[in-house]
Amino acid sequence: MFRILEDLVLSSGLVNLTPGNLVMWLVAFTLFYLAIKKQYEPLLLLPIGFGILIVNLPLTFLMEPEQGLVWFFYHYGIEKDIIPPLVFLGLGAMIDFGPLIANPKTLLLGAGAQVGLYVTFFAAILLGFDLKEAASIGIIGGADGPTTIYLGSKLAPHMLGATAVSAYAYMALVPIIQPPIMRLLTTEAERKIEMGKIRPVSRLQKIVFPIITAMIVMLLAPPSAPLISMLMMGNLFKESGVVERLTNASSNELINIVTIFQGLAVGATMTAAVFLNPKVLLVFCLGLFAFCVSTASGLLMAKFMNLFLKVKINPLIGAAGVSAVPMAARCVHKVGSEANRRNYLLMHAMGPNVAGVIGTVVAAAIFLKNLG
Amino acid sequence: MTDWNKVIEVFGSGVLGVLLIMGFLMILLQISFKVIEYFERCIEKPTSEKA
Repeated sequence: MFRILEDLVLSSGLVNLTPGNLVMWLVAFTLFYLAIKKQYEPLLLLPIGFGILIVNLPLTFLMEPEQGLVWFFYHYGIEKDIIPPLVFLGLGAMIDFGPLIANPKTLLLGAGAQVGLYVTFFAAILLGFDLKEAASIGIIGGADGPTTIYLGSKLAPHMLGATAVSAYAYMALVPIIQPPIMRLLTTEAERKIEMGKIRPVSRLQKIVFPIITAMIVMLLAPPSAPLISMLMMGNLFKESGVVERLTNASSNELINIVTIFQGLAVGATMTAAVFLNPKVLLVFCLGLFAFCVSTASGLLMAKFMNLFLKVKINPLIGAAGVSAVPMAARCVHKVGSEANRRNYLLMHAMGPNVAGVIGTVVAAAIFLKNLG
Repeated sequence: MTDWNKVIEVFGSGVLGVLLIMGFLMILLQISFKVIEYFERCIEKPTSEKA
């Protein structure tokens, strides 16, 4: 009897537990708390947290190459670039590019915010990261989870968990991170600038937009093809109005299913041996830096554009150039309406907000062209 | 050992590349929207004249 019990204990994971596993459990429980209690990006942080928990239970071999269940999700979903483009298909079917079509100049604000990515890339190099790792860290500033995962899996897969969690965690913290930077870089008079009504956009313009954007971006930056093609196809489904079933499938069932596998697979890369590393702390610090610099560069781009525009734009909308749809736009609207109660900036901020999604994909494509 | 020439190349081509691609996309979109608006106005005119 005693021998059976001894065998049971010795063959269990309990005797193989390491202090590192226990620390990773704490990380997983922290993500559960943030997702369930605080409701910070629960759709991602919950499966990521569960992935961390199960991969840090000894002898389960869930991430064992060619054997573990989660390894297959990771290998075919993330390493083979299936999941991030499918998430983009769903996003495309959900996003309304109307505010961007009404004011294409906001594309420049989406581009301006990407400067923060490259400043962070430079800062990461100075802190001792190699070029590929620095690019994976810089892309966090784009505030775009699927693009962060897509680039990270290609350039620095050993840091994928840290960069992805950092991106999603800071996206949830946009309402806390952005307002102080907005107030610091704008005057009261600038924040009070009112913007007129957005011009109406015809159905034909909405249909033509994804086709032209897909063609131009893929011709100029071919490595962006997997992401931008899916994003624009999803949007074409939505705007064409003739494939309601495909639009619904992309924006509901498909994106929900791939989100589960994306979160679980990313979380499962965070084993104690990989994650408990002083560099991971630096990744989180640089991720925050990337968010701040991207917000600032978007704002400064708007102020620069105002030097040439007859009808001035409210520079706050530049801060929405860091994707994080739609939190960044809501944040801009809140700060703008605090300065001037008649200010209604939400729809104006949605233009740079969705332009930021395209801008981050272009930035990732340029990183891949140079370093991939 | 960091290859600083490569770092500067990635930094410069990244900042300029994103701005150029997005700027080019903006110009092409503006042109195509103007063309669409022109045709939509042309189609609307005969309809309103008939009415």
